[in-house]
Amino acid sequence: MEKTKNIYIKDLDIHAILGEEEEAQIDSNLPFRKWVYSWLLDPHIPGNYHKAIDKWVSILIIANLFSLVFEHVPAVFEPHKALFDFFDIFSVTVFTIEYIIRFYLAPEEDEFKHKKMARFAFVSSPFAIIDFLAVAPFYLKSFIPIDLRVLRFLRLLRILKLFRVIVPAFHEFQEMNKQRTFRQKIHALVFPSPYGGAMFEICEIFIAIWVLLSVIAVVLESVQSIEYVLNLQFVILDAVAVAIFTVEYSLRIYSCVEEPGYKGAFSGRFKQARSPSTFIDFMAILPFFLEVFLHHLFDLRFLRVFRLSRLLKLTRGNDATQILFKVVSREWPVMSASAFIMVLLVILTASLGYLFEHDAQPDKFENIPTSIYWAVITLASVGYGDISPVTPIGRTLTILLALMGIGIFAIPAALLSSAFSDELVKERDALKANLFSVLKDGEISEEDAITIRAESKRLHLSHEEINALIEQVIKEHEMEERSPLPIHKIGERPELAIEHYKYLLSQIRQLGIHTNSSQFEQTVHNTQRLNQHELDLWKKIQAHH
Amino acid sequence: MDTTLETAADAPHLGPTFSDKVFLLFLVLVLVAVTLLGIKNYQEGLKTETTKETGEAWLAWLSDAAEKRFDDNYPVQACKGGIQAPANALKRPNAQDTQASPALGTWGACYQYLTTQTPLKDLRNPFTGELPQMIAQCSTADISTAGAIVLENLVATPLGSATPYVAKQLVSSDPIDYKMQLRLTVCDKGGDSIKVSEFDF
Repeated sequence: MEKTKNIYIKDLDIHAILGEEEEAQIDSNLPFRKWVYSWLLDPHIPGNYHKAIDKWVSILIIANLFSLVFEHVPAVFEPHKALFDFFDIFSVTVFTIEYIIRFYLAPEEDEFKHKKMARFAFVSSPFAIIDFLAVAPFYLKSFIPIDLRVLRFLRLLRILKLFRVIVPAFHEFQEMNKQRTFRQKIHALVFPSPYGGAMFEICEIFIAIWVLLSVIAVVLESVQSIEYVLNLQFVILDAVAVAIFTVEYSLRIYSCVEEPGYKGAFSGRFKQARSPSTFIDFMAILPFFLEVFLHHLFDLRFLRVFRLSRLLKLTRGNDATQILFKVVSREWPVMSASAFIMVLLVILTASLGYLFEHDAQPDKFENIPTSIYWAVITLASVGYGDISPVTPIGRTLTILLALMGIGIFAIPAALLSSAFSDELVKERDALKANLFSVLKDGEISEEDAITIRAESKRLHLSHEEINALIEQVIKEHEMEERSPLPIHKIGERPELAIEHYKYLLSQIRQLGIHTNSSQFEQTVHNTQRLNQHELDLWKKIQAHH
Repeated sequence: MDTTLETAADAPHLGPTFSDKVFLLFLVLVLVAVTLLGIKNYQEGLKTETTKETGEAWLAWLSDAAEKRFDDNYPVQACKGGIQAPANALKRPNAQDTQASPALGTWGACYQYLTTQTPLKDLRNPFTGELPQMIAQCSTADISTAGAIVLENLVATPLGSATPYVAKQLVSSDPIDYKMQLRLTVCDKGGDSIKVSEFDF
């Protein structure tokens, strides 16, 4: 990645390191139109409302899409017609205000400001035409009777407004991947990499939206009254979701060979297919195909529950699950020992329970497996009460069991909790070490800032925590400052190089003071350790003393 | 899928390679397959919708009749309320719905009228193309129940019982001379039940 700028310790700014924007610094003495443009639409001013406006308009567009879909479902639309109308009016109002503002501020836009008639150029630009088409049908229907279906189709054009976000992201993606192969481009789209940019984020958001939609659909399908009216919509939604997830799965498998550690056309792809995240992706689409092909042979509706595993797709970008796996695998020997004790205790107490209670309650303590159920429910402090001992010895056993259960069942929880905490401390120590090495040379490159940014995000560190860590590292760095910097680092900065040169000269002079000059010269002559130039230079430096 | 490893440095050109084209073709095929399966699922879903519509048509007729069938001038004698069926008609155990000339005052007579004299006679089970069969319950183990109708009589239990009513299939010999509470359920493509409604008849 290209190095853009370096940040020096003395200029350290937490916001710059974390890549966050502080409030925009906009001169209030600017002409009003310029001032409004700077606050609302200028993409070059960090910290203004440009990104927020884009984000909220995008959300509103997606909400409009859903509204349009649900308008086709009479069971949803008819009872809430007023709400839909209100939402439509609200959307049109927002989009109209946006259009008017853009129209007013067009002479400030880079694209139009050099044109003779900036506003006309704006009105005839593709984005403005889309913006206009997004609101025009609403106003048009007040004057001309338009068929509802045509109106709905025209409202569908609102989705095109998303191009305001997608097109720049696409251009950025093209620019970043200019000299890259087709497969590398696909890799940049579906795997985190420095080449993905905003397009990768858009893909991630798109997948996340579909994951949430399909999971919500699975949950709602279980509500009979909802499933009754939206059965067909759920079928369509599932098919679309599976199509999207299948394409994503195929893209990931195809381009995974670009990932480090996954080289090899077959071995790399097989390794990727076996990885937990890709296996989850596979599980997300498998029920659809199995149910379609095998539903005549078996009742496979239970497979639908596995569609909920799609939710796990969202953990791909989340480090918490990886930490959990790491913690569990690290603590596995202790946890398995604890689990073994639990199993032992359960079987032992279940057998004793059966022994003492079977005669008194043959229907409840019918056999040892039934007693195991009672033992687990008691040990885990659940205590449903459907099976309870009646004999004195059985009750005594239950008291012991309940008391032991508190301790035995708490062990794995305590282990996990402490291991989690240890892991976080370790990760933070690693970040601190990273920060130390980054700051050792006295500057933070853009790449270093990206690393710190990613790590602080991953560890969910607040500004204060990062600040505290940086301060600590700076202090340690100052303690070490007496030790010289690496010579190549000194050489990079002339002022440091001069100081270092002066320091070295003074060292040579000090050496001359403490050395017997005649013995020194005699030794040089005898051993030929210095050539004539070096000896002359030594004499010159000492002569100035 | 390709068998060679490419990087930007050694790639002969940056456009799609042969393996990329094969992959794209595979992707298109996958999309076509998912689309076809989606359409198949949609068509199956449509059949379930038709089954629900059949159930709703039955519900509409029975609910409509419920309001009038105890009137003196109610024209449909077969479904008229208040007509006592002969004792021997009620004794027939599990009489089949298709039995010839069931006695007035029984569900059999009303059912026969509904399936021969009303628009309900034209309704078909979309899974079999035949008249929707009346069954005791939907069964996921028996796919032949798909598209069937389950009409149950909800009989109130004595006060203090664990359940407020018991449901039993309405059979031909059941009397319908009193105000009844019914539950109408249809079976979907997998034999799973879809409750349409509970209503008075």
